[in-house]
Amino acid sequence: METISQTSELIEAPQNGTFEWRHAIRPILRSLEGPEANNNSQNSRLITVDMKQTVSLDTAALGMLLQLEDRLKQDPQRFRLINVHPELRSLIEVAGLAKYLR
Amino acid sequence: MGLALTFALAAGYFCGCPLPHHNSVSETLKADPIATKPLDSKGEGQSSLSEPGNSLWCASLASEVADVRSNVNRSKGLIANGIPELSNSFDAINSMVQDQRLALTSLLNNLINAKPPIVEFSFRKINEDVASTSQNLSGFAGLVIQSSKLNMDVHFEIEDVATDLARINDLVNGVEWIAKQTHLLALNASIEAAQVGAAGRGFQVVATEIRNLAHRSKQISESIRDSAASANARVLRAQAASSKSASQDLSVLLDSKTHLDKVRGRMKMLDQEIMLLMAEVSYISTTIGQKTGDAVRCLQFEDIVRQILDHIDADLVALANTLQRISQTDPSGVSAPADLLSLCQSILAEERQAAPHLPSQSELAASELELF
Repeated sequence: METISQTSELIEAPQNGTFEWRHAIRPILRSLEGPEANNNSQNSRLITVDMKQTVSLDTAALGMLLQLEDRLKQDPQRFRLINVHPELRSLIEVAGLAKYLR
Repeated sequence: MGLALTFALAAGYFCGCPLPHHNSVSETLKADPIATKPLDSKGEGQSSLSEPGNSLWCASLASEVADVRSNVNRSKGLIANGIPELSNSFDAINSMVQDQRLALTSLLNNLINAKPPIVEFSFRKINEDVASTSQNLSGFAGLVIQSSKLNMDVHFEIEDVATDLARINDLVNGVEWIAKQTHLLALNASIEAAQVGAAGRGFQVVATEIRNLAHRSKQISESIRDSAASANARVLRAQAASSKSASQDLSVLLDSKTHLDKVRGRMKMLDQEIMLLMAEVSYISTTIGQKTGDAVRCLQFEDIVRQILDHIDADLVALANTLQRISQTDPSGVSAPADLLSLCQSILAEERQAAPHLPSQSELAASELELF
């Protein structure tokens, strides 16, 4: 398990990553939108998605991860995916999120 | 046993040993210890050529020679019958192996040297197609995910619209409350105006107009509420549609991609294996051809064997003739074993003059067949 710094935020992905995950993701996306998203404190945010418990991901969940990636400027220093099961790696790669795997 | 040695032994018998009457020469040689006794130069114990036993001995030797000749001729017959058949079989095998090798070579040439090479083209093309399909599947999955991302964007926008509609509904409720209060105010104003009498008639008109405006406001609010409710219903349907569109299971697609990648790997291995097998079959075919050729070449030495047998037969004829002439020789000039041996050698040399030249080749060298 990767150690998370104090300035980072950890999101625990559900066992089955589906459309319903939006209730947890939407507030984070909102917090990364708007004029305040560009200030220094927002730019220093590191969001880590822990997928330790996740065994499946549908396209909606992957779409939300892509939205997070967009909001975090596609910066691997600000967005990370950890503890991804081997079975899900190909899916993550196809989605173009491989560079965030840790 | 050489003929010279045979005669040396024979001279020993003539000049010092009792001759056999019934047994064969070889049996006598084995049974009689005196037969191996060295001859002395004085010829002690010698017997005369004219004695009846000596003629019998010559006849016995002639019989032995005839037996050997018979066996030699049987061997020649067997070789003469068997070798051609064996040779024909090897020739046929060789011919078939050559045909097989030519067919394989032709097949390999057609497969590899064709423009474009058939095998390489086929496998490469299939491999490329599979790789392309796998890549397309991967790309398609990526597009679906990107599409889902956009759908989620749309869904979040629709959710925001739904939130806005709910706020509109709240605002409409506020407007309706105000209209209702305005209506009550206008009603109270009308009552107050009626109590004042004629002086309040103008105020009555104003109160009525305000009541009408409140009523109109209420009607508009209701229209807005209806429209908002209708928009909300549409938003809910759009949310359902976007959620359905955004949420797709890609596992089947990715399983197909994984399967295609495996097929591609197997195709590559199969390609290599087929090429190796074809090369091996070609090598085996070539080797069989060479070995069959060697066997056919070996069979050509049947001629040498046959000629050797002919020579042995000629020797035996010479021996038989020699024995015949010895038995008819005047014995007065032969008193010692040395004389008898000299006589035998002299007659044998004469008989041998007509004998064919014996081939000197004794080994089967692949490229040195001595023909005579």
